[in-house]
Amino acid sequence: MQVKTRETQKALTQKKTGLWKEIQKNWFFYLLPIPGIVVLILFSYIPMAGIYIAFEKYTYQGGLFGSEFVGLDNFRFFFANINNALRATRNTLVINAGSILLGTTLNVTVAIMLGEVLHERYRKATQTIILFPHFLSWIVIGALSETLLANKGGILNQVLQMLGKEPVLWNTSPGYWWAIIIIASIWKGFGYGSIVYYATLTGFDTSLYEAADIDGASRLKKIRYITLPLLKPTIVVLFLLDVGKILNGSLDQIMGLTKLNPLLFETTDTITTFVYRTTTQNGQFGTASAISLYQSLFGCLLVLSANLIARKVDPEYSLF
Amino acid sequence: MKKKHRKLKRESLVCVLVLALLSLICLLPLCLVVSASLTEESYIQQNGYSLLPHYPSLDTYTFLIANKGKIIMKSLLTTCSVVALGTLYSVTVVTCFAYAVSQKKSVFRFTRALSFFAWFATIFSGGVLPWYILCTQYYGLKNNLFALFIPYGMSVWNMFILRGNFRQIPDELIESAKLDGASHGQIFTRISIPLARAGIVTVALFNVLAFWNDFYLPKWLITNSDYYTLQIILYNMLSNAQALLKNSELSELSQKVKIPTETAKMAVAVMAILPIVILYPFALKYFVKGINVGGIKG
Repeated sequence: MQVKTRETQKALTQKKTGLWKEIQKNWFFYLLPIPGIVVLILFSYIPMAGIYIAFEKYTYQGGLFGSEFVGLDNFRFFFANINNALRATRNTLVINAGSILLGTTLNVTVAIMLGEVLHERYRKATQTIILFPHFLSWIVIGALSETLLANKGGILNQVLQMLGKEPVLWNTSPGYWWAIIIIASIWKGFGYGSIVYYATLTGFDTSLYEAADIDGASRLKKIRYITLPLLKPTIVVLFLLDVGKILNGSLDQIMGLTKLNPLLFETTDTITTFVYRTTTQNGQFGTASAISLYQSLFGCLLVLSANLIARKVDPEYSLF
Repeated sequence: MKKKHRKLKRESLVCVLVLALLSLICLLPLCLVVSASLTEESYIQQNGYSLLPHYPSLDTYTFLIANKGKIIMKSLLTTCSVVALGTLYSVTVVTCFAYAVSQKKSVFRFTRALSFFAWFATIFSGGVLPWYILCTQYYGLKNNLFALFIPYGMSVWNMFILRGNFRQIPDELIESAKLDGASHGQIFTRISIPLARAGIVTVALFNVLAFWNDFYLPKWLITNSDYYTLQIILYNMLSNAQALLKNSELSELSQKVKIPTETAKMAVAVMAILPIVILYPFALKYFVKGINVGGIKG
């Protein structure tokens, strides 16, 4: 008790003394985070201010903050390309919603299954194998997918032929690619996801399950009424993290899997690849800046709505 | 009672089988790639890919070493330098930041503000175009080695992992060191860093893998083939089967020699996978310690 009062007193006196004195005393802690702050400012915060570029006619001489202000002029190009922008938005939403919803379902299922396996070494071996794809790059996965999807000689077409069906020309049929990309991203991520959930599961209070056993609850009932509710916070946190990653995370995924094949743009052109293409291939900074602003706004909207959903599920776990 | 026991076993058996199937699904594509890299090109053209090489041969690898050895060695050198420098740089920046943020409010009053400052940057972004213009035209990060790792200095996710590790250090240790007259710097380097070693190794491993696999920075910021990384070489081969011939030492020969385009891609993919396989046991060991999802907020 005495210690506590002493601590509060200490805190109070420190609040009264000036910031400068505190810096002099604990200068070490004011020095340490500086490199990190500089990196964050340079690569995250100044680019946020750089959104201004959408309202100017960017020239090399004028630079990011000194070019001629043109108001909404850049958006003329954007609205001329509105079909492409809407297509990219649709693809981004479909692919990510599919991967996140199906992925989460599979992750939780696999985590519960891992918990049901009583043989310790078997479980460890399984974990070791299913986690491995998480560490592969999307470009390597692009090479893997080629062995499966090659028009001639790919495993899927070999199987189709064995079943007496016509082979599919995967590289020219956009219709299949939502499914392909969603399956690939689940394949890469389910080991990681399920192990995170499994780690959470093993921390649960076993007395709950013992009580349920005494009441004669079936296994499914235990999962439904004990495991899933306890997993809810983790599900919400991982969901929010996934949504945060949507905008910056899909360039290498789409490029690895489709190699930006124009024949597949109908279903594979996402906002990220759309920005990449307009910036690097056409070099039209006017158009690109408008799309880039759209990307930021869209990302903002996604995070806000994800947060709203999270708050509906459990107010404690919303981000803000 | 006996009946229930049997039922329990049956359900477990279903789980065991499903997990075996999922493991198989994870392994098969890897088998296919390794097998393809060990098969002759003409065999794949005729019979397609297979799980096991029918007539294993190292032809593709000898071809790559003989004809593309220089380019591949150069890209490996670039990639390894980026992995080494990048990991050192990022771990230093993140450790320092995380240590400051892990302090109590009474010692460092901006811990909460700085946590928020870092976390906010992951949620909102200015889009890639301003970032690209700033990097290439203001910071000079284009077509040089620094462009491949400097922008990744602060991985906020890693920072939160380390902050959690630093917070777990018992207060008594720090207090007794203070009583012995240790300065903040001495406590940091002699006590806190050694005690948070597991977390720092985890973060370093994540960094090694992230830099080895990185595609984003080289794709945006590198146009000069002198700084191509292994991932870019692999991507170029995948996206354009003829990339292997470009600027090649064998352009005159190309008419006569049969170039193994498909199997060469697979061989380079195997080269990109191999270091991950080697690091994997370490990654696994630290992995479970590293994940503490609950500690992300706040």
